[in-house]
Amino acid sequence: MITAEHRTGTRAAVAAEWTKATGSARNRRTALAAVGLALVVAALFCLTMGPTTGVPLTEQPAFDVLTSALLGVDAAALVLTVLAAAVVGGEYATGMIRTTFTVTPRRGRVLVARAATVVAITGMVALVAAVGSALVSWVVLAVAGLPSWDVADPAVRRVVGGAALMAPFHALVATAGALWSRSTAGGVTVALALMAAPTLAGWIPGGGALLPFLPGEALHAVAGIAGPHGPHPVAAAAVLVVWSAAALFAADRAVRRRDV
Amino acid sequence: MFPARFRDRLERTDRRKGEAMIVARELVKRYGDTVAVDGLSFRVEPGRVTGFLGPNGAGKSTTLRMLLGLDAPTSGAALIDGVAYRDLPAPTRRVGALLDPGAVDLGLTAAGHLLWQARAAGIGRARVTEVLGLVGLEGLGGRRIRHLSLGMRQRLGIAAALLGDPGILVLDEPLNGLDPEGIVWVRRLLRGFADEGRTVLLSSHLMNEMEATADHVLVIAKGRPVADIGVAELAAGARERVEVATPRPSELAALLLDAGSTVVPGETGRLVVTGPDAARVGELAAAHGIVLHALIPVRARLEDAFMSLTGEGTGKTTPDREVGEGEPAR
Repeated sequence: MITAEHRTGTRAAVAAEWTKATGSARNRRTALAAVGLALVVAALFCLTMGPTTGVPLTEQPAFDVLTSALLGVDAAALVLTVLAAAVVGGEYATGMIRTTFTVTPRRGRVLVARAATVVAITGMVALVAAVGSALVSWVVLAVAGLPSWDVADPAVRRVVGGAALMAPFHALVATAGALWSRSTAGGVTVALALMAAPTLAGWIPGGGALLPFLPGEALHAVAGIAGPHGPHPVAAAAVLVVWSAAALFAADRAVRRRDV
Repeated sequence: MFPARFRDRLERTDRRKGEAMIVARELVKRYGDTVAVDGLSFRVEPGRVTGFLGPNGAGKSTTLRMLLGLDAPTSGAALIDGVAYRDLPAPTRRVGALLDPGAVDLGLTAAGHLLWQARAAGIGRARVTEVLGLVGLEGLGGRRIRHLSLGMRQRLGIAAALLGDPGILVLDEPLNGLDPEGIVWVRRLLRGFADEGRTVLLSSHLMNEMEATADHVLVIAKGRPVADIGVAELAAGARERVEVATPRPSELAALLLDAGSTVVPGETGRLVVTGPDAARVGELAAAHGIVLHALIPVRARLEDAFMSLTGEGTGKTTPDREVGEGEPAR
């Protein structure tokens, strides 16, 4: 049963985690760098589309130029994922985790608060990176004198919004992994393993059947770029929720039980 | 283990005084085969400064971590106001803790470090400014912790402990890294705290540090309790020593040992004698025609009481093969 005291406690824990995360100069710098990286990568992918795909930019559909630019958000997501793991790993390395668990001895609350904070912050940063990357593709198309994509197009909005989902999802998994392993490396490894899972599944005979249950494919499906055989977006969203819940559950079990 | 009669007294007071602040009952912590804390029972009373003493590795920090709910005891219990720390309705407002001033995010500002902890307890920003002033860091709230000296970081750690205006302070080695002025300041702060009827528990591995800071000491060694005693009482029990310089140390040492004294080699070839007073040592030397170059009564130090309690050597004694076998005689 959730009582008023629980709610106050959790709200206070969220406020604490938010203040801690946004107060760190390193976090702010890294978030800014992630957005910068997204824009650079977006420009690179747009400008090299001709040579890499064999189809000159002038003959590319505007939507494809947009999705290429959005690969910049994936680069930002990698940075934010490593950052999320490093924040937890840093707390364990310095011993600050003890202060965290002393001021909020209910460790489940710390976990919920940290998860909410990570998802909110990386989600916002990734959305900025996604909109920025989209604008890069718009500028590239405009400079080339080509017709651009239509901002009112629901598919455009969905692909931009969907691109911003990768960072919060993987950052959340990295956070859970880092709490579970008490290290940055552990968090990064867990997140990278999930990112690489679709590729690995492709190597196993019959591994393709696993794809709809892996977060990579689910993220594409939610963004509307999974192709005609991809999972239904609602099913894909459910897959992401289940993976997140499983990661948090594992972290919660470990964090509650252990001495710090 | 406490003697049975002491444990009885402990439990009687426990029942008599409902306002028990910090109580440890048969606390045990094992890490695999290593026993860090081995059946520790104590209570920390309000209105005085209690020193938690023991050599490094005695189990002090482990005990404090169990008290704060960070480590789970293998058996036994550590309670605050009769409940586990994590079951306190507002832990930060009841207990202010400082475990390790180095356990911080160096990229945060001093105020930022306090602010996130304040937020966790629903404490406002005004209190952050207030405690920064209390610990002498006014105006430094905007400075990154990276750019604070060790002494300032220690003060910042104490500021964090004070945030919730708690009735209980638990501080692990709070005097470490402080300059003399800082040490005096912490002592005054803790004294004022205790005088207001609050509870103070601070750990240290240095007895002489406690001499001027604590009213009462809990001494542990190898995870076991060895004393739970007032500082005045402990000082009264510490015996005076005499330092003697003589060109014939072996002969004098033999005479003193025969007379039932304890003799250990001191610095620069001197003898450190416990038992007889200076006059008696002088008379003994004179009676045997031994010349003395120095005969100095040394004020009893709590340090020595502590050393004998915890069974540690003084660490300062340089073995001198000329004197006896270089072993402390008992």
